[in-house]
Order: sequence, then C-alpha cells, then structure tokens
Amino acid sequence: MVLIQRAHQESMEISQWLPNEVLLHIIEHSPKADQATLSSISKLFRGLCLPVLYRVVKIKGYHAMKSFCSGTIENPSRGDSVRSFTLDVPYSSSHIEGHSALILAALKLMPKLEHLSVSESILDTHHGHLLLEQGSFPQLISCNLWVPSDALDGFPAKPSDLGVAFLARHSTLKRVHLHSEDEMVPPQPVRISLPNLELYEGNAAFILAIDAIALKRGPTFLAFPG
Amino acid sequence: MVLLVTSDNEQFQTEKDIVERSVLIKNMLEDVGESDQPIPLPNVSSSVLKKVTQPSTGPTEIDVRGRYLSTASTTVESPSRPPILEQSQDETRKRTTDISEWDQKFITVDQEMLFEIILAANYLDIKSLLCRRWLQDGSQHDQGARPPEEIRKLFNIVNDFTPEEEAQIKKENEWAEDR
Repeated sequence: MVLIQRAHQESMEISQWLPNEVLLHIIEHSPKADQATLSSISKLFRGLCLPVLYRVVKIKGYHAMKSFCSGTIENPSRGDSVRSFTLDVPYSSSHIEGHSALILAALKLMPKLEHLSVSESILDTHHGHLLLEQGSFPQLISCNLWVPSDALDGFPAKPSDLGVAFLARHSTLKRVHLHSEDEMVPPQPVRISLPNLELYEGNAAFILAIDAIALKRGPTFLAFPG
Repeated sequence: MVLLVTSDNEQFQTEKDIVERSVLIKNMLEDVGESDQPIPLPNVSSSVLKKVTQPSTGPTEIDVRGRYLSTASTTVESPSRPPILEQSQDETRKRTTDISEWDQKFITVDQEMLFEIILAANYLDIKSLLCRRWLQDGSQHDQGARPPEEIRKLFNIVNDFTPEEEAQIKKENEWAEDR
C-alpha cells in the first residue's frame, strides 16, 4: 500500500492513482445529480462526465427543460451525446411563449437519438406538427409521441398523414407509442415498412398501414380502437 | 464460510454471500471449487477488509450489505433522495452542517483509509461500492451528494476552472440538478 501512503502524504490527485476507466465506471453508475457535480470539479472530470451526463436525458420540470434546451443550443456538441431524450413535463401555466420552438431546436441537434419521448401538451399544436413533419433521427429505436388532433392552417397534410410520414422516415423503429385523441386514419395507399417493429401501442386503424415482419412473429401490441 | 488471508497475514472467516459480492473472489471460488484453503488477498490489509466486509455500524463504516448491491449487474439502483424542493431551508442548513462535521472528521482521520478502500474495492472488483462511498456522507438517512468543493478536498483534486468557467458550468448543469 505504498502507493496509497504516497497518495495521502503527497496529496496526489485521485486520477494519478486510479485509472480513468475506474473513474468512468464510478461516473456511469452515479445518479444524474452526482454526475453533474462531478462534471464541475475539474477539467479532467468534466471531460469524463459530459458524454455520460448527456447520454440519457430525462426532464421532469419546466425550469430544467428550459435550462437543458438553451444550454444545448449554446453548445451544440452536447446534443451529439444524447441517445435518450424524455420530456415528461406536466402542462403548466408558467410555460412561456416560444418554449416549443426551443425544444424543437434542441431536438434538431440530437442526430444520434435512439429513444424519444415527449409527453402530452408539451409542444403546442404547431410544433407538434413540425416535429412529425421534419423530425429525423436515423438511429431512432423507440418513440412515444402525441399526434395533434386538429389539422392546422399552413400544413397541407393532416396530422395522421404526418404521423405516417414520421414513421416512414424511421425504419429503424422497434417500439412505437403513438397517441392521439382522435382516431387516426392512415391514407389508404400508404404502407409503412418497419421491419424491426416489436411493440406498437396506439390507434388500431393505424397499425393496418404498417408492414412489420417482427410484429407478425408474435410480440406484444396494444391497439386501441378509435 | 470462506477463509480470506490479508496482506498482513490475518485470517477472516466470512460468509460466502458477502465475499461473493466481490467479482474477483467470486471468480476465484468458481475456479477453485469447494475448498478449505484460505484465499490470499495480497493487496488488501486487514483493516481495509474489515471495512469492506462488515455491515455498517456508524458513519465511518461502510454499509456493505445495503449498498454494494449487485456487482455483476451493470445497473446500480439510484438511492432515493428526498425531493429538494420539499425541504425547508432549516432542514437544508442542518443537512449541510451534518455533512461538514462528519466530513471534517473523515478527511482528517481517514483519507488514507478512504484511498485504501477505493483501491481495494477496485482490486476486489466491487465497483458499485466505489460509486456509493465517495460521493455520499455516511448517514443512513441522508443520501445527499457532496458539494464539489468537498469532493475536491477529499480526493486532492485541483480546481482548474476559472471562476467564470465555474459559473458557466453551474448554469449549464442546472437541468441535471433540478430534481
């Protein structure tokens, strides 16, 4: 234990006697708030912590949502680390004008996103449409999204058509949760091919438009009529 | 029961389910099979092994049973935390004082021991024990994280950020601290 005695007596930094991969392991298994604390203690730790801190982002409060989205827009490279993004913020009257645009701008900086979940009423109808129309995440494995119920001026397509287009753009999807207050009727001629789909939860009429080989083999799906 | 021999030649009779939390010892036992032969641990001293294998009896003890969970699994449960917003200012202040008093004792008396425990946990492959110990105070009831300055002090980490950088980081990290 000579090393430890030296570390103690000579006030050696922990990184001089503990390998980085052990530090990284500690960081990876620490709660989110501790990861944030560790990322603020030194440059070495910040370098180790940031990719871990941003890998799985789960936001439950309006303030955190604002802080995260504006921080990511200021430092776009952070978005690159995000693999899982969950916005589970209850609707609140304190929502300010423009927060939907902020969320959408941050989402555009997450090209490697694998899991996306946005709870009801977080995005206004306009940005709900925009996400379905423009959202593109080449590695998306699961999504949990709300399809706006009302058609909106300025969008030539109905919300359900935008839902179809969103799914069609993401053939990597394995799990789809697509919610809507109204029945979504997919346009008749369209077939969506999701060869990896294992779980579908949502509107019953919609599943008819999906070609899902994996789903036909037997895994779960929950379809709600109407 | 398993017999362990430490670097200072002390022998320990320890329950199998406790020592098997160490991936290193678990693998050794699997390789050797049932045997009365003691397992040598040349990198672990008796004082450290006591800390790593005994259940918690006070703030300076390590709560092995409660906290080093499953080492084989890659997931370690996050400790439950009291929602920070629900705490009154008084409670928050009291908590901070408790941590500092305990810390002071811990740092001045036991930094060397703490380093040894971390290294032993690494050697024995009880990494989740590592995760718990260095961030949290020893109290059973309070799982609050240490403030950055205390972690720096505990592990001789030099703050190489400028005050401006630090303020920027604090602002940037707000989302992750908002519980």
